[in-house]
Parts: sequence; structure tokens; C-alpha cells
Amino acid sequence: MEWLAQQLAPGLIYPTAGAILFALGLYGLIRRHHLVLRVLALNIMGSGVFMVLLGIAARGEGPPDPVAQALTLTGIVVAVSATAFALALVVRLARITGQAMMLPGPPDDDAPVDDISREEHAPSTEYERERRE
Amino acid sequence: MIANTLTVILILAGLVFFAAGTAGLLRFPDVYSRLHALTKADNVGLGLVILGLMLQAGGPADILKLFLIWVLVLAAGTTAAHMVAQRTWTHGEFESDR
Amino acid sequence: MSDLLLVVFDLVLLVGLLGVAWRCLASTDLFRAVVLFITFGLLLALAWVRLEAPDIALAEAAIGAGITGALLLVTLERLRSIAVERRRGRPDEPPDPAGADALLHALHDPPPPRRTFVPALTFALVVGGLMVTALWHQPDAVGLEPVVDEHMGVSGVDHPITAVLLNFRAYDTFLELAIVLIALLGAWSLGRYDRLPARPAPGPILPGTLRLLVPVAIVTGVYILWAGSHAPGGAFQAGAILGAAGILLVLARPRDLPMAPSTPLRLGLAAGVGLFLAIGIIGLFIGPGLLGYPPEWAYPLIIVIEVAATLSIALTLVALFIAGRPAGDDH
Repeated sequence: MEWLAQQLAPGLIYPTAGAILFALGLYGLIRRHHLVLRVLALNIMGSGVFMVLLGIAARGEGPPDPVAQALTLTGIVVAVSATAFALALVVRLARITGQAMMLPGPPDDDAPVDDISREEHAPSTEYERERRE
Repeated sequence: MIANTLTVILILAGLVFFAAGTAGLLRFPDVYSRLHALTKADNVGLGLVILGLMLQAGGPADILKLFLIWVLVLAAGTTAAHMVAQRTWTHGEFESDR
Repeated sequence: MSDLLLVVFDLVLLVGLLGVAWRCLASTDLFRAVVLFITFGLLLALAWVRLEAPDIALAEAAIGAGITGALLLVTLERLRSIAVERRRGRPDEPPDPAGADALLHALHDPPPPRRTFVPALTFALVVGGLMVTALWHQPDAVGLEPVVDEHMGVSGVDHPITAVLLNFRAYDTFLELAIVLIALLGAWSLGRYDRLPARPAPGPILPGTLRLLVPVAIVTGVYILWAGSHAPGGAFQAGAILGAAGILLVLARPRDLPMAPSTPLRLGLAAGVGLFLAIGIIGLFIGPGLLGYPPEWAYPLIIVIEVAATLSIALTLVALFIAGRPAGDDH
């Protein structure tokens, strides 16, 4: 019993779970096509990294390592602003192309790839309208 | 000793309410009955858990903080449940519910 | 006995976390995925409490679950309204009789193609396996806890994490505030503010609750900011709470959002970075170096920076939620 509790100490199983979360997020990032789901997958990967950091910080006797905790705190705020920016990009992409998907690439390199930047779209802001006239 | 026993009893009773509310959330057929189960059960359940924790609190400040948590959760939960019900009433249930 | 109970708690929590993350990433319905992600964030906050990191738990519950969740939900609503507009714009297709219902398809992701299964699984397994092996063979180190503990006397505050954030590793925090500001500038560069697609809820319930909750949120935010010098709390958590209050206010009146005056808004957004940098440069001349403070001045300087950073973070989070730069100042 003692041995089991020692093997399953938080300093060991939380980093392991963090690594699994990271791999899970990576798997989702590769397989899913909708960009919002990809943003979610990235966030889950980030949470895995935080869990590794905090799990290692909690190892050993005494209070946990405050430097790792401070770095994680910084990381959470950076993650939310990056997520917000990514979601703004997704909305912009959907507004231009009508899709919020990362579609699977062309079957071979010679096939023409749609160039999003040249796609016709209705002018959405006054600035674009003026520029077009 | 009496305080500890009371705490255990109160928290266990609270957990029973939580379990009942969760079972209702998972088993009931539509949004309204789910909300009904969830809000009623969780408010009482949380109240009992908080009451149990108050017996263990270090001083009046802690008791006040716990009470404040309960009141805030009540207010937020009521509003959220109202908004969910309102949205369901005007827009129908979400597709994934069917 | 209690050790064993804790192990059981850890295992249940971690299995729950992994299960929720898996269900979230495997879901074909985006709304369901987002709700599961919010659940994931709350469970994560519980894990941080278990790892003796109450600061991170506060931030995770407020930012990771709360504000990220609000951002994701409003994005879904925006995608839905874009789909509605595009459908209406095409004359050859009859307008959709079911309205919002059929447009839910815009918020669906079909199950991934089978051919990506093996490569993705292999890649994830290799990366995860490497990480687990590396973590298991890592030697036990004391970390930087003794070093921080030794220097707490000159930091100006009594809470080690605040000391690390605003004194020992102030450079990281400064750059982080800059990143938050740059993310907002990026979002603003993508277009002008357009109306939130959220429908205002009829009835007095939401405004009434907000009248009750927003003052409480402001008091809580200020308290957490003040508590940061000697207990878990600080600028980030306080900024997140105030930002959440701001987002609720925006949600309560999505149609007639009062326009923020341009100059004060920009000053507020840049206050955190600006003040931090200014104090850092002063430290270059009269203190121990860039972003270093003379020990006797450390406490007031840290408080000033924290107040400015709280204001900036709260404003930036609300601005990121609204997205798009304020209308009417493109001159």
C-alpha cells in the first residue's frame, strides 16, 4: 500500500497526465479540420504543458517552486490572448471564404490551390468600399 | 467532535442532492426539466455543503466568506438557468439534444 | 489511509480530465465541444488546487474557463451569423425556412477522414511517449524555491509568486503584458467593430442581476489585487475578474453598446506596458538595472505597476471579446 501511494505521488502522475494531455491535443490538432476545434486542441496542449510544469514544481518536500508557478500564470494569460487573436482570425476567414475549416490539402502538388486572398468578397468595411471605387 | 460529525452528515446530505441533480441532468428528456432538476438540487446541495464547511471555519470572517459564496452562486445560477430557459423558449432546443 | 484517498482523488480527477478533453476533441458539434472545454477548464482549476497552486487555480477558473469560454461562445455565434448572412445573400438558393436550425450545420465538423488516423496516432504516441519517458527519468531537483525564499526580504512583497512575477522575473511579466497588447492590436487590425450577434435577453433578470453582481465583482477584483502582496492573488486574477464583469456588461446590452472614448481607452490599454517600461527605465538609472527597483521603493512601485496592469488586462480582455477596433476613429 505504502509503495503504491509512493509510486502514484502527485509529482509523478500529474506530469504524466500532462504529457498525455499534450499528446491528445496534438492528435486532435492533426485530425480535426474545423479551426475552432484546432484552437481548442492547442489550448488543451497548453494545459498539458502547464500540468507538467506545476506537477514538477510540486515535487519533493516543502512548498512548491514559485518560479514555475509564476511562469504558468504568465502562460495562462498569454494563452487567452493568443486564443482571442486566433478566434478573430477564424471569424475573419469565415467572413471572407464562408468556411472556418482547414480543408485537407490538394491530392497532389500540381493541382491548383484556391488563393483565399484573391477571392471575391463583398466589401465589408467602408474603407474597402472606398478603395474599390 | 459533534461539529465534525455534523459536518460529515451535512456534506454527505449535500452530495446526495448533487448526485440527484446530476442524475436528473443526464436522464431527463428536455431542457426545462433538466434545469428544474439541476438548479433546485444544486442550490440545496451547495447550501448543505457550505453549512457543513461553516462548522469547520476558523472565524466569523470565514463564515461570512462561505455565506457570500453561496449567495453569489445562487444569484449566478438563477440567472444562468433563466437565460438558458429563455433561449430555449425563443429558439428551440439545441440540435445536439435531439 | 488519507494518502490512499488522495491517490484515488488524483486518479479520478486525472481520468476525468483526460476523458473530458477526449470527448471535447472528438465531438462533431462545436457547441458541445466548447461546453466540454469549459468543463475541462474548471476541472483543471481543481487540479491546480491539488498541486498547491491557488494562484493558478484562481487564474484558470477566471481566465481559462470563464473568459476563454465566453470568447469561444461568441465566436460560434459570430460564425453562425456569418452563415446566415451568406445564405441570405444568394438569390439562387431559397431562403432557409428553418432559419437558425439548419444553420447549425455551420457549427459542425464532420468526423475526420480515416486516412489521417494512423499517422496522427503514431505521431501523438511518439511525442507523448518521449515526454513521459523523459519526465520519469528526470532527477528530483529542489528547484528555485530556496533561492526565492532567501531573497524575499528585498522583494518588497510577502507572497513569493508576486515577488517572482513583479520583481525577480519582471522581464517575463513585462513581455507578457506586451504580448497581450499585441494580440489586441492584431485583432483590431482585422477589421472594425461590428455588432455582437448576441441577442439581448428580454426581461429584467439579466440587468437586475448585473446591478447586483458587478459592484461585487469590482470589490472582489480590488480585494484580490490588494491581497496579491501577501496571499494568493494579484494583477492577473484581479484583471480577469474585472474583465469578466466588463464582458457581462457588454453582453447585457449588445445592441446599444456605448462607444468608449478613444483616447482614454487607448491610454488605459497601454497603461500596464507603458508604466512598467517607464519604471523599468528609471531603475536603469537609479536602481540596480533595467526593471530592477531599489529595495526600499519596491513595494510602492510594485503596487503602482500592478494597478496599471490590472486596468490594462481588464480593458484588453473586454476589447478582445468585442474584437474589431472601435468604430469612428479611422482618421
